[in-house]
Amino acid sequence: MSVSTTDLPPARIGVLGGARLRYTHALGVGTRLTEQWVRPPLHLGKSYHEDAWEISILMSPTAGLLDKDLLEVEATVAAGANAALISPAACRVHTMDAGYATVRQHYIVESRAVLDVWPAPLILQKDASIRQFTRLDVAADATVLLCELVSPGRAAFGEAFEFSQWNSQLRIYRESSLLAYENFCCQPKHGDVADWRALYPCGSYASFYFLSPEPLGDIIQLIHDLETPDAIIGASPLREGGLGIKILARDGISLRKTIFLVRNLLIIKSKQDFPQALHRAQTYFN
Amino acid sequence: MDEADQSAAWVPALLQVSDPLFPTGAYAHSMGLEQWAATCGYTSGDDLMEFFQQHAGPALARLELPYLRLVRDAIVLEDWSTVLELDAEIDAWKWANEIREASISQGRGRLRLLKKLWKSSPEIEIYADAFALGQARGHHLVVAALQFELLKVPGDAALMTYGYQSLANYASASIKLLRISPESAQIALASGLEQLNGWVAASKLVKRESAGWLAPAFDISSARHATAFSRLFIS
Repeated sequence: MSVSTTDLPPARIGVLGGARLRYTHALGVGTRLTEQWVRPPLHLGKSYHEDAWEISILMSPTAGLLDKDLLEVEATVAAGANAALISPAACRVHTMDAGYATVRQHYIVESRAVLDVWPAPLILQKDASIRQFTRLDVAADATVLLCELVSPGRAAFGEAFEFSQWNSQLRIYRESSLLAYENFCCQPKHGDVADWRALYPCGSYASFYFLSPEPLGDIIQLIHDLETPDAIIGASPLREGGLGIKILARDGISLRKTIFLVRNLLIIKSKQDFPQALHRAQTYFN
Repeated sequence: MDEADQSAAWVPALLQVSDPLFPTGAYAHSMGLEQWAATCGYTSGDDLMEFFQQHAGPALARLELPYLRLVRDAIVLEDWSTVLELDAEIDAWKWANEIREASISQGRGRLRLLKKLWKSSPEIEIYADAFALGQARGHHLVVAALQFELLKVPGDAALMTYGYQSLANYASASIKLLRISPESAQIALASGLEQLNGWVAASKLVKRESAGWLAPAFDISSARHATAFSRLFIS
């Protein structure tokens, strides 16, 4: 029996969500979100102020990302401003028959500014495909904590490394000079990330970049000392200052605990006054 | 087959620059194997074979050999801005500082000797000048590409040679690290070399925008080597 094309379900049209944000500093006022453009399904919660910071909660209230979905985030932290972008809920990348979802992020951090990007994990579900493009442009005297968390499946269902493809490209430029570059296509079905899976078959992953004009001192040793049987951590200096940090943990709880400890060390090292809200652990993974 | 393929004139010089006697300092580096072997509890030649299969080979195919090819292509076109751009990219994707510095140290050593041995090479001169001015990073992959072009080594032979040197360096380090016999190391190396042709072929399909490799546990282990309580190798 032949099936006519009219019997087929209509092709899904992806959603195109996005946000363009600009934070500026004003004397006697502190940091304020002075330009904002947001397109659903991305949602920007009402920003709040703590000390001289502006803290924004960015989330996608829909179920997660599907084939053809595109999220684009561009945030500029102008000279002297202090901003944080956090998301309280994990972002699921759902099962797809074909195609992929795309996430593009661009952060610009100007002189003496501070940016903390602390999202909840990206959960790569069975047969999911995602392409991520992240770019960070940072001034030499700015401070940035850029974090990315990935869970390789829905732990509650015993799902791990069943996603189709995770492509990621990250470029960090300091004063227009390329400082860090990550570029990969991870396909577990082709045997990729064997090292990760051998250590923690259902483990989660976090990658940090810490950029600061402050000298690193003994922080690498202090970070390495945080290692436990449930979480391995490596920290390495970037050319001309700053750190790259990678964490693999047995499960989400262990990852959350380790990130909390690492963040607190980095916050102290930054010599910046991070507000109390950013010292607390996020609620994901509970 | 072009003229360079038919003539074997390039072979003696290639053997010279590929020999462990050629002083680049490679013997002092395990390129991450020391800490990784400790993390995984490697003790045998079979473990080394697994390392080649799961890590060293795919990393060559998807990251290092494509960059070697891209740099050489740019040298052939005398596109020095692309050479320097690729050099900076290599520097930026070598995440663990010890691995990055090891690559620069070996590149610098090789460049110095190439400059002495082939004084009239304009390519070596241009890159050495850029390195002296701080415009080039001096990564071993870039200097190796210069060397292969200087010696007119055919493309596949150059990729094979670089692949061989990478695996052989791990095999050499494994004798000390895993306490395996030289015979076991050679058996493991032979198993890696059997697959090298496939890794080289795969590398030729990788475009610049897709060249890359993710191995977070290996990266973590390479970073931890810098603060390890004891170690035999610089990286």
